[in-house]
Formats: sequence, structure tokens, C-alpha cells
Amino acid sequence: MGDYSFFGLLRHAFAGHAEWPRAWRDPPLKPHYDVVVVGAGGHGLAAAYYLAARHGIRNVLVLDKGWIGGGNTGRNTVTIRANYLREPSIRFHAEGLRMWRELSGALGFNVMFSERGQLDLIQTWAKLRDVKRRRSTMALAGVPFDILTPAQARARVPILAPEGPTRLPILAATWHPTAGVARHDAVAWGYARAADALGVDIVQNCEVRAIRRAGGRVTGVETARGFVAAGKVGLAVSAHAGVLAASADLRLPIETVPLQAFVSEPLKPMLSCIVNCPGQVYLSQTDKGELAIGGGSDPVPSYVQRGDFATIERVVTALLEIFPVLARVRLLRQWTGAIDLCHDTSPILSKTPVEGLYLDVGWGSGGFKAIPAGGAAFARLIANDAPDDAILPFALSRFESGRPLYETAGASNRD
Amino acid sequence: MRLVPCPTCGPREAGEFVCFGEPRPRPDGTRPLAEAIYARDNLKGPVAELWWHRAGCRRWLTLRRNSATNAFVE
Amino acid sequence: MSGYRLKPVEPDARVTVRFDGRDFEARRGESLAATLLAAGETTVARSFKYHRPRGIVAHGAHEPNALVQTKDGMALATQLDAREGLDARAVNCWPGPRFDLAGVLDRFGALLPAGFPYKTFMGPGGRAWPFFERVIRALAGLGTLPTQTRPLRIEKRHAHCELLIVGAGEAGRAAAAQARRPGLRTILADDGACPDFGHVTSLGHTTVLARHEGGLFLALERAPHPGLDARLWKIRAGAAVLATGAVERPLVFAGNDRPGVMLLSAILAYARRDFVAAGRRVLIACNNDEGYDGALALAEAGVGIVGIVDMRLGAGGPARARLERSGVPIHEGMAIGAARGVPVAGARLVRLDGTDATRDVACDAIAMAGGHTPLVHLHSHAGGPLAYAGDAAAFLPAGAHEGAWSAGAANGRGLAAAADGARAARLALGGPAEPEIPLSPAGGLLARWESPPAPGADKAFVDFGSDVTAADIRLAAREGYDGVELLKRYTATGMALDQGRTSNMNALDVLARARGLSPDRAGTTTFRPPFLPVPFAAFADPGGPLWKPSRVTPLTAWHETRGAKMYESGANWRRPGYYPRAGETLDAACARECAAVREAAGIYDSSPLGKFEVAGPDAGAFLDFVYATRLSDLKPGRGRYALQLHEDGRLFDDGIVFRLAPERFFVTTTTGNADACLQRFSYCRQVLRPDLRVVVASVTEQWADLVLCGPRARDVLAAAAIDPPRDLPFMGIAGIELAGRPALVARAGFTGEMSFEMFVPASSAPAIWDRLLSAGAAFGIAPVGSEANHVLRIEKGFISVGHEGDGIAGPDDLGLGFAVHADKPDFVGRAALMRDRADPAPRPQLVGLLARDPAFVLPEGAAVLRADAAVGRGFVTASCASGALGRSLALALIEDGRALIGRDVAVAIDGGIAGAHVVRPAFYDPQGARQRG
Repeated sequence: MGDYSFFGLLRHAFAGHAEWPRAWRDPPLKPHYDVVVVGAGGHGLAAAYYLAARHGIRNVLVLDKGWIGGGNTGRNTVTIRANYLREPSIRFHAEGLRMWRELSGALGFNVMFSERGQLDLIQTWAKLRDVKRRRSTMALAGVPFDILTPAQARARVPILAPEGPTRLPILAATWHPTAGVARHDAVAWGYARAADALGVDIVQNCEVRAIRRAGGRVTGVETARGFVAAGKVGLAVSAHAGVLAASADLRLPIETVPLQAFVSEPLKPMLSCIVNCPGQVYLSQTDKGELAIGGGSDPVPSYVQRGDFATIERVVTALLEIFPVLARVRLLRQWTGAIDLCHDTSPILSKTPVEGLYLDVGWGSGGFKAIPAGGAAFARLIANDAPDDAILPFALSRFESGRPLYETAGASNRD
Repeated sequence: MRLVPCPTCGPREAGEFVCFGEPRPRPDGTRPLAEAIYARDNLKGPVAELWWHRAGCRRWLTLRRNSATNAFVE
Repeated sequence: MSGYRLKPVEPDARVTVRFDGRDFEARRGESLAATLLAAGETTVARSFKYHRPRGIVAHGAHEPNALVQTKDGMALATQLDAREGLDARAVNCWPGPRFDLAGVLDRFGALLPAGFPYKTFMGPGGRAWPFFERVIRALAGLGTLPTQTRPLRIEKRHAHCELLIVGAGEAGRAAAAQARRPGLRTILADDGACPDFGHVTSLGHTTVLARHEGGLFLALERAPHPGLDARLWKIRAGAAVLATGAVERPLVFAGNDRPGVMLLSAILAYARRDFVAAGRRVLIACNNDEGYDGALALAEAGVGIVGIVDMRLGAGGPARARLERSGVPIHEGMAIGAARGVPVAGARLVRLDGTDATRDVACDAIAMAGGHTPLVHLHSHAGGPLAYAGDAAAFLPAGAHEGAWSAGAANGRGLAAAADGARAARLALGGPAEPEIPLSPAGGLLARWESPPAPGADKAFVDFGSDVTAADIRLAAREGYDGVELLKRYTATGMALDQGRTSNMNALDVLARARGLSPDRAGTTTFRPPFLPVPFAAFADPGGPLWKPSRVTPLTAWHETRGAKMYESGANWRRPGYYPRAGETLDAACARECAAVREAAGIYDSSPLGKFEVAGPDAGAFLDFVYATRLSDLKPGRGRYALQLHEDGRLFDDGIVFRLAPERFFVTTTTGNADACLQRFSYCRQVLRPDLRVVVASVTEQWADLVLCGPRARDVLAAAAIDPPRDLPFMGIAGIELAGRPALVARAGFTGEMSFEMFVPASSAPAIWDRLLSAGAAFGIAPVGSEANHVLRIEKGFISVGHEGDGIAGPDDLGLGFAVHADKPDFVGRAALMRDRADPAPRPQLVGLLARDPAFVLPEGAAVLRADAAVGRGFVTASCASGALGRSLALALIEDGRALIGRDVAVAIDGGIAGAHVVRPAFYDPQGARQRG
């Protein structure tokens, strides 16, 4: 690997930057790999990296039908947090936060993790009850999480709507100081470069069309460039999980739905943390100065990466209720990803009935934050061919045994 | 803002509807429970799905749509 | 200081505008860009990354540099109309654009190549990044929040038409002329003025922002009338002609971003439209004939031309001879090697093979003419495919897409725009197939834009807005970011406010050459809506009270006038939390209300409860299917507590189902699930059990629900002269007449006391409520809010689906197995419930908790710990200080909780652990004697 450091930059500057090596190779496909990971997004690349770095499995191929980080890794609003409801989720993401803090150093690639904290605005009594519960469980996992008064919230985020008669007044807020953001593409690139340096082959623009099996065991994948044999196959393909799993006669509890995001024109720093208004809108300001804004997913399943305007209206209306000062700020770009929404809104990190086939899917709108912890856990799962305690609650078998891990407490969650 | 072709009411904006998704056969003992309750085909391409015209005729409709283009098909 | 006015400003059009604190004379209505250009104010901006001095490049929305700040927000100087009082500043520079302290960054440009932040700032233990991030954040960003406090007045309007024409240029006008069929509704929209055709609806000053599925177009009309800032049109169009034009493509050479280097089309537009010359000595650089045609037009307008630099040999068409005759030097087979001066003062020319032509031309403006890039955004927004057309060196719409036909310059037919526009309109309106009109690229276009790179020369930019150089593109390609999407993300090219209008194609060209590919192999990125940046307010719906409108019961006004603290509860209902007397705290008010219910009488407004009528010969069978509880054997006049399950066995909802008559049931559900229940009832009726003869109607709003409870409830009723049948049993229901109208009275409630639940017509509710309160005064009646209700139900161990259900608990977990009749052959959730009953693995179970310290109220949500570790085993679902029991009480959902009854557990609280004793979840009158009465 080239030297990614200030002095490296200085040295290459004298050479007119003409001598930087490729960040990753463009390798030919080998006929056989120990492990094939499908999906060169954050999860797939991280899993490949940890397979090589932690488990000594280096004969690994990562395949993608598009480009590195071109799916939801490069389309999300980069929130990294651990304020979940259920204890296994909280503990999983608490470990993730620890990994994020070390990630740039570990990869030798600045992923720009910025631990700037997240403020959640609480506008209903039911939500207030919910966050009190989260706080208690998060304390067990060692994640600081405080409940603030509206005045304390406004002190952190001065551009919030001032106190006054509003439809849904802010009752309280929560402060999650170890939450943060990172540069999404850099996470994929950092893992790709580090994995490549350890010998992992990353092949882009090569679609996997089917999983091949023999006698209940995976034998490889059928790709746009022919068959590739593999002892183990891991799927980290978000929206297309169902399509690929179907080729192994698996039906998953997953629906693919569009999720939209927006950015504003770049402004000088005015929002120092992430702000979330649960179920309505969330935003943070990028280092470039743009406000990155997200809302709920579209209500109709679809693989089309195009959003419905009604969703835009809903999210923007909520945004201006909370931040009326943004009314004249301009929306610059709007885009849509296709997310893999699992029935219970928790992910599937699991073995499957097909021996040698593993899943890291169903992350819905929350996959980005889980890249380091998810990738590491997926690598452990593949290497050990067995789940450990941390990911046992995310096993596919939870649906069969009647233990779904609903991340919402509402009784009327997805029927 | 998509238009949904309701056979009773004509084309109406999607906000009037609840998209229930692919039909879900009830558990009947012939398949594992999780398969019956949770699993989805989640097909990319033509799908048959249930829509409820909540803010219209309140009928449950089975409509065919291409999930790769969002176009409703006859 | 090169620009000037070709024609003085007419006295009656003269206005004064401010830019960077200085006054400028302007012609009312011209763009601020024209004003500044006319004043010779060449340097008007600083660049995003290097803070290089920048000038105006273009004359429309594709301007990449001249972004200014006003109190209304950021805008392009090219799109800001001059008017008296306009006050604008350059963004992202200090003290100003002509001298900017951060301009020093350009000196360190060698250290700041594409992607540099990824390669550094990882210093000791990750501590470097937070510091440098602050520096980068402060340097990045452009403008600031608008200081204007007047709310924007924007309305939304829907329109429907058979044909929408976007753009009133040559192609759009020709399309409009075709749309003359009687009854045909046609809308013609244009950014600028829009001609009136009579038979079409013309929307001028209207930018079409986006194309969505189903022929939905969004368009923003600016200042439709003085009372309105803008109007957002939602246009549902049967078909559309997209005649959005094209923008000129810059050339890539060292210093091509220096103030004074502009697009030829812009220099022409300022001269002809605004009578403003960009310079006295304009040098034109081109790779096609437009350089010559433009030179003639400029000369005609009175602008001085010092030469034409043409990459080609022997080209130029008829215009060339005329120019040569008038002595304009033509530099053939050459390109600009480097521009010099700030603002530009000259250009050094090179031969295309890279050898120095040793020719230096003095000039005060450079015009770039690199052909045209079609604006295909609207085609692309809704997924329309693009194809590379080598002749036009552009990506063009690959045919019509979902009824949208591109035409004119947007379709690569700029020289045959009228014919192409007319053709598109005929096809869009369903006309027979017609042959394609041939492409008409800029005359004699040579597909080359970049001058030979010279070592040591100044930066050559492909993206002015994002400060991306040709060297950055080559670096990205070298490092493996060599697909167009990776390139865009690594270098940020095309990510600025202009969304790459002037840069995408040049970036692609440099990339393709670096990789030795043809441009069509390199591919293009997708275009994302909106077409132009748009204020958030334009998309927002009305806010304030209209945002998620709250729902009120017939008694909400009464609660509010009595000073009740109102809560927003499930399904947006506004309900009273408690009714504090003067000086009373929540706890005191709640305790008083509870005491009234337990010792005298209380009354509460339960109107938000979901209510349904289920009727028909098979109503009983239907409810047996929907509910886990058997309801078909209910006798008329009786009710039963009943549960609905999810198909996977979890509790979905609870409520009381009454049978009013053999074929008529009255069903109550929880407030929060009322809408979901309506969906579920109709799903079960229409989809799962169409064989059953039953109808279901929601009557939630029709019936108010007043609940009178407490040991003196009968006395209050008597005093109010309300006479339910004397023998009405617990869980019985009867129809009576109240205030002259039919009503229902049931012996049911949620407090564990003798209760009368009165379902009365909504409009009768206030009078009956008043009557009960007046009659009850002598007995000490109190209105009771949800806080007291919460305490009363905890005392009884009654579950609340939203609290104890937790989204995962089943009926057995909550001790509600008595309400499940699993012997029924089928009901929703039965199969999963039977599986759960057969599974010995521990499940969460509802128990009661008594804190060791009876005065300590366990916090709701607190984790209940495992005995052996700081790991959760469950949590406190509800907790209160009970007046009736004289101590604190709590309910909790704990894994295998029933096995712990009689034992102690630890509960995690702030700063430590609280001990609690596990008991059965029924604290008050566990036999239920009081409610049976």
C-alpha cells in the first residue's frame, strides 16, 4: 500500500502525484476461492477484510454487480449510533461505536469518523417512555445517553424552533454523545484498500446471478463472467438479498423498499451534532457544509431507486416544523436507495439451511453504522461456521422459534 | 403521488391506499410457520400484491405491478 | 476591469444595487451578473476549495462560480434580478472576493489533490482528525443562513393536462403550435418569459424541477403575484415535450478558471440581451464553427475580437472568410496553453501536439466554445435511459420515456429545434411514427476539449464549482477510482450547485482518455432532482396546526377550559392528563383523582377508544376468527374481554366486545390501534374470510364514551336520573334513552371499581357529562385524567397493550391465557400460539414488583437484571405511587418472571441498584369484587 500520511502526501506532491499506486487491484477472477462475499458495499468489504486480517483467510473474493460502495453504503445519511431498544442491538452497536473510533487508524485510510453526538427530540409521551427504557438498557452496555430538557436541547442546537406554541412541542430530548458520522464512500474505499492489500480480490461490474449448491452445500456462484467455485459464500447485498437467496431456494422475511435522502446547498457550520426527530426526519451537516437529511422509507416495496414525492413533502414539512429557519435554504439534491427491510426491523446475521451459505442482510435503513461491527461479526460467523453470543439473537432461526427482535415497542408494528 | 389503478374508483394517488404487499397464505400446517408468516418472495419484476383503498372504496384489490419499474400491469 | 456597457442605462430603468458593500448602477431587471460585468467587476467570487479568484462564466442556471448571499439566502448572480435595494455579498471569502485571506490555499494546492483528506489527518491515536475537521468545516460551506425573517408565502396548485411542454425556446414553441386539437389541455412552462399562444396555458418564470413517475411534474413559478413568493405546481401530464435546451461546454486549459474566461454563449447573451460587453479585446477559443459565428455576432454588437484560437485546421465555415477580411487573426490547429493574469490579460497558445506555438495573445476576456451539452435532467430523473451520441459528443435521451419526449437542443437537435419540437409534440399526442430528425451538433465539432497539459502550468479545471482539475481526474483514474461513479465521489466532480452542467462531460472526456476508452464506455452518472436548487419551503406542506392535525373529542373543549393538562396520546388524540386545582402538582392531582374513584366516584372521557359495529348472520363466526377469544357464544346484552393476536402469536390488541343482538356486535379496541383494527377487520372480511356474511363499520367518532366509576357510581346515576336496568350485570350492556336519544350503557371499565360506560351520540356528550358532574358533586365526583387511570390500572394489574405488550409478548406471557379459546379450530395467530405453548424455552412474563423501599417509585423503563451479571432480564413496564395501597407498585416484563414470584430481583436505577420483590401482577382487590358490585 502507498503511504497514506501527511508525509506521504508531501512526498508525492513533489512527484506531481503521478506515482500514487492503485488503491486496489483490478484482479482477474480465479476459478476457486475459500470464501466468496457477494456485495462490495461496506459490509461485504469489511467482512472480507476481517476474514483476512483476523482469521487468516485470504483467498477471498468480493463480487459486485456495480462499483465499490455503490449501493446503500454510498447513499445513506451516515448516522452512527447505538440508541436502540433491545439489549442485543444496543450491545452490538456499542461495540460498533468502539470500532468506529479506531477505524481510520486500523485501515490507514481516513474515514472521517466524527463523534459529534446525536440529539433526539421527544414530542410524544409514548416516545418519552420509550427513551427512558433505552437509557436504562444503554447504561448496562456502557453507552452514555442522557435525557435533556427542551432548553438544554436548544442550547445544543440553537437553530431549533424557538419555544412557543407549536403543534407538537418538544417535551424533552435525548443526548447520545458517542454517536457520530463518517464519510460514507471512504468507509467502503478504506476497507477495499486494506482488504486488497491482504490479498483479497475485489471484482466490480460482475453480477452474481445464482448461488450453486450440491447436496445441500454451497459450491460457488454463477457470475456474469462464469462460475466461481467457493467453499463458503456470504451474502451482503441489501436490496437484492431476496433475489439471490431465492436462487438457493431460500425465502427471507425481507421486503425491498425505497428510502430517500436529501442534501441542501452547502452552508457555513450551523449544526454541530446529528438531530433526529423520531419517525419524521433526521439531519446532520456534512464537513462540506451540506445538510444531509433523511426521513422514513416509502410505503410501497420496490427495487426502483426513485422516491415518491409524497414522502418528500412529508419529510420536508417535518423538517421545517422543527427548523423553521431552514425555509429559505435550498434543497440541492434528492436521491433514493433500495433498502432490505426485515420483518422485525432487526438484521439477519446468520447461517442458513444451506451449508456454507451465510447472510448479512436485512439492515434496512441502519446498515451503514453497522459496517465495522457487522463486517467483523460476519467474518467470525463465516470463519467459525457458528454464531457467537453477540449475533445469536440476529439468527434467521429466530423467526421459526417465535423470537423476532422487534426494534419498535409499538403493538401495531408491521403485521 | 404514484397513480394506482383502482378498478372501482379509477386512477387515484397512492396516498389513498395501503400497500399490503404480496398475498400471505395463512399457516396451514403444510410449511414451517416462519415460512408462512414472515417469508416473502420479494420478487424483482412482476408481482401480484394486495392494496387496500382505504381513502376510497375500501376494497381490497389484487393488483399486478412490476417492482423493477413500478409500472402497474394488466 | 474590462467589461462595459454598450448602451447606457435608460434613466427610468436606473437602480442602485450593492455588491460587497459597494454601490453599482444597474438596469432594473437585468441580472446582477450583467451589472457587475458592466462595471468591470471581473472578480466576483472565490472558489470552493482553493479560494481562487473567479468571475462570471455563464448567463443562466449553469453558472458555476458567481454565487452570492443576500438576506433571502444564496443565489447565483446570473439569476438575481437587479432591483433597488438589492444587497449581495460574495460567499466563502474574507474580506472579499478581490482579496481573500484563504486565497493562500491555492499556493498549497500541490498538497490538496483529489481525495487528499482520505490520506492524512489520521495522526496520533485519531486525535488529529477532530482538529482538522473543525478547520475543514470552517473553510468549507458557502453561504450562511438567510437572515430574512418574513415567512415565505408559497402555495401549491394541482394541474392536469394532456401535454406539458417544458421550455419555450424554438423547440417548445414549435411543439405548442402543434397542440391545437379541440379540448386538448396544454401547459407551456419556461424559466423566463413565456409567449402567449391562446390555446395553451403559459406559465412564465416557472422552472420545471422534477419529473416523477406517472407523469407527475413539479414546477416552481416565481412571484406569480405580489402577495405570493412562489407557487409550486404539481402537474399531472398525459405526455410531455422536454425542450430544456443545452448549455455550452467549456474548454480545459491551464488557468481556464481565471476571471474573464467565459462561455462564448454567455458573452453573446450579455452583449445582445443586456448590452454589456465582457471585454474590449475578446479572444475566442473553440473546437467548432460556433466560435466564428459568435465572433461575427459579437462584432455586430460592438464587441472587439482579438482573435480566434481553433483546434482545427481549415475550418470555420462562411463566417471565417468574413472575419479574416475584417482582420481578425485565426490561430488554427492551436489551443490555449495557459491563460495569464487575474483578471485574464492574455493567453499563451500551444499547438495541439503540445509544442509551444510561442504565440501570446493579449486579451481582456476569453470566450470558450466547446459545443453543447444537452440538459437531459428531466428525462433522466424518472429513469429515462441515455445513450452516447458520438457525433454530438453528448449523452442524449434514448428515445421517449414514460410519455416524455425530448426535443430540440436537449435532444441534440439544436439546429433543427423547431422541426424536432413539432415532431415530438405530434408523437407525444399519439401521432403516427415519424422518421428521426438528424443530429445537429455544433458545426464541424472536433471532439477535443483539453489543451495539451503543460508541466508546471497553472491548474486546468474541469469543474469550477467543485474545484476539480484535469490532473485530479487523472489521479483518480490512476488510483483505481476509474469508473464514472467512483470518480465523481472521489473527486466531487459534478457535486456542486450546478450539478455538473458544465463539468460532467469534460470530466468524462479526461477520464476516458486517461483510460484509453471511448466516452460511451466510461458512462455517465444519473441526474438527480431537483433541476435547480429549490427552497425547502416550496416542498413543505402547511405546518403549524395543520401538521398532523390533532383529534378532539366532544369534551376536549371542556377539559381545556377546566385547566386540564392535555396530552397528545395515541392516534393524535388530545386527552386530559390530569385536572390540577390551583397550586396542585401532578402527583397531588393524580392522587386526589385516584382517591375519588376508589372512595367516591370519578368520571373520565374514553371517547378516543376505537369502536366498531359488526353485523350480519356470520358476525359471531367472523369475530371468532379475528379474535383469539370465543365471541360467538356471547349472549345478547353481554360483553367479554377479548384479544386479537398477530399471526405470529404476539398480542395485537385488546378490548371488550359486546353483543347487542343476535346478529349485531359492538366492538371496542385500543385508541392507538383503531385504524389498524379497521384495516385488519376489512382484510379478514374481504381477503381471508369472504365466505362470511358480515359487515363492519367504524363508529369511533359517532359515539362518545363517558365512564362513570367508583363505589358511589350508582348514586350518581340515580341523582342524574339515568336509569340503566337495575339488574344490568357486570359486563352487561343495555340500550337506554339519554337526553332524548338512544345510548348504550355497559357495566365495564378500566379501574376495577363499579363502572358504567356510557356510549352516547357525540353531540349529546357535553350535556350528559355536565349532568353527571352536577349530579355527582354531592358525592365527591372528580373528573379523572389519564395519569390517574394509569395508576388505577396498575393497582389492578390490567395491561395496556402499548406498555406491557412491548411488541413481542404473547397472551400467555401477559397472563391473559384465560381470554384465549384455543379449542376454536382457527383464528388469527392460533398456529403460532400453539407453537409457543409447546416451546419450553423461557419467555418474557408479566409480574408485579414491589420496591424494597415502599416510598421509592421504580423508574418506568428501568432494566431488571439477571442475578449473575449486569445484563438485562426484563424491564419495568409501568410504575406508580399507589394511594390505595399506600406504597409504590410496578409491573414488569421479565424473562421467566413467574418463576421468580416470591423472590427478589435487582433493578438498575440511576447511580445503582434498587431491590424489588416479585409478586403476582394484581395488587388491589385481586378477586374483582368491587367491579362486580
